[in-house]
Amino acid sequence: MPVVHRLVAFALAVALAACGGGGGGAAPDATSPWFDPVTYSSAATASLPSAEERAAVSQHQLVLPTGTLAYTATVGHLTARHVVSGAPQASFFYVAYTRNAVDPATRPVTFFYNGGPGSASVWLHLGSFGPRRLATGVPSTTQPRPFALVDNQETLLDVSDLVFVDAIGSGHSQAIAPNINRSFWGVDSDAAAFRDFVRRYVEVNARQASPKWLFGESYGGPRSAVLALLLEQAGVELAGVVLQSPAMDYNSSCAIVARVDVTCAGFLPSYAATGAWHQRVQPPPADAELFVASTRTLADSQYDPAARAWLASATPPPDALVDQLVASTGIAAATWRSQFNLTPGVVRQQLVAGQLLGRYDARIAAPPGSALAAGGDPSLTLIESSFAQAIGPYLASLGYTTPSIYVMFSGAIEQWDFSHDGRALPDTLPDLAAALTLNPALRVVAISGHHDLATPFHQTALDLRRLPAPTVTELAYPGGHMTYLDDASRIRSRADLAASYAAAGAAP
Amino acid sequence: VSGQARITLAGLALMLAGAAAAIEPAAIETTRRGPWAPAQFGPADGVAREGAALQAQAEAKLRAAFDAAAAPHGGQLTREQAKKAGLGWLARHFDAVDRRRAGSVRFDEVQRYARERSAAHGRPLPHLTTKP
Repeated sequence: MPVVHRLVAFALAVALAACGGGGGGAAPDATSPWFDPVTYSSAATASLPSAEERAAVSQHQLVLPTGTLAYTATVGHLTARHVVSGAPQASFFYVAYTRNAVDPATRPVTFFYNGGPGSASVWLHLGSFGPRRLATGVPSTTQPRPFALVDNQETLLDVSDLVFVDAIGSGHSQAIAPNINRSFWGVDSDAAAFRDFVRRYVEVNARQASPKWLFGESYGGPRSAVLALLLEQAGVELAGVVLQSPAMDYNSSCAIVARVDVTCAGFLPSYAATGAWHQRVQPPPADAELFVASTRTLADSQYDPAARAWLASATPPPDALVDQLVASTGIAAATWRSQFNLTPGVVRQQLVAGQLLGRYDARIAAPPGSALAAGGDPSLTLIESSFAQAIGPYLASLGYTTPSIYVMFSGAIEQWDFSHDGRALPDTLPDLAAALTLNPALRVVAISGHHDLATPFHQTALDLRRLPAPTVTELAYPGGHMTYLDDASRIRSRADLAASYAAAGAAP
Repeated sequence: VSGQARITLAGLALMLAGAAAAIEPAAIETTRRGPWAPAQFGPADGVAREGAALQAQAEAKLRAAFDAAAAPHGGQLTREQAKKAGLGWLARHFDAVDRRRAGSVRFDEVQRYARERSAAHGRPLPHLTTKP
């Protein structure tokens, strides 16, 4: 792009951003649609020759119990430039919701992204705390599909501005030459590009003084740890990091690695929660959450050492422990005796006869061979097509249209460079600890679902307890990987998150 | 969506491979959705450090970033050098770090300042038994 055009685009972006914030004297009702003619590609070798920084801007209102909330939606691209060289890295697609009539300079801003790696941010965007959400009815499987897009009474927009950004190769985000998408398909290169996107967003929108939060889900958790350190090192101070069902250390999951000292103890309380939900626990617990919490002790003090002995020397478990595991999970004694270090795939197939349980949400079950089970995870199949169908028309309703197809999930995971810090698979606790060393005021909030068999809540707690000081707010609710899809848990987590944001604001 | 279509086909392929009776655990455990690592990554290596040992690892990361930037400058950094190397944190806290008023700082000064700041925030960092 000729320099003069780039300057015009930059000036336009600044002008739009000023409108978006609703402050600075710009017209608060600014609206400008944007037909983006670029065809974006998720291919590993895809590369844009250059990129424009442009966005569609539109005005909206949301009626909440606490009053009407007027906000601006900004949908488009910003160019991440390398923190040292200034070279363009990638054109990031983002959707920002900024509240009107408040000072954007001091209002919190939160950056949301999903994981995969390779997933677009559509799940958090249309499922969690944005101003609109898809009403999934999870864990019910009877809600008519596609799900309706409804006003989100649990939006965090009254607490923070919200920016949903897509990883490179997903959504409409793409690398800029000489880079290709795959240049950023690695733990470190991906986080560095996200750092440069956040820096660019902050610069263009003059958010230097705003408390900044990261909100990453699943692989977005380890991304957040690495990203938090890179941002702190670059001088972008964060207020907090929300880890939604994070996989902080790939090396600690018995479902990812096979190693004699990696047991499935981190999964056991999730098996108990799943057994209780499917009424396999004896006696049926009066209070499911209390019961689930109690099984964490069982996991740590009895199951873990027995599973270590099993893995190291094939030592059979004591009968009394097997009895207790059967009672606490509903999983048959024969299964425990034959596969004592029990992985989640077995539980998903064997806990309920004739049903395959979901990986992301084990409350959702379907018979093998049924349409819901065909993709291997009924809880994903239940929701996937509704999210895929909704995103394009929704972006168009915000004034952003494009010939490109929004890529829900790229092929990045198969080509991802998982190596980090000299290890083949990422352990990102050192990154988080280093970020906390540079910023002792940094808040870390972890949210997990009791019925998530992908990133079990107890393992997440065990990983985070490696940090040297009690710095993490651990939250766990009934629900799956995406706890926010559960209506009751979304209400609870919204309240808990709002409290964390308020506490960060109150801190010196 | 070509990416989507490929995933669905891969999912079907996994299904068909295990269609005889139940789905094989291997099939449902290799779903391509995250968080997941491809199967070629074998046993994990390394150690999950915690507490003081984790903190030492964290500070070693900070030292590595500092050293990479400071290597061309004799192991020390001025504020401008820090800024140019993308170390905005150091540029921002430079005066507090540079207690000698030397105009350039060493990593041990960065470390001391960070540790004092943590303590002042009520989050004292554990004593390191190994030098990062």
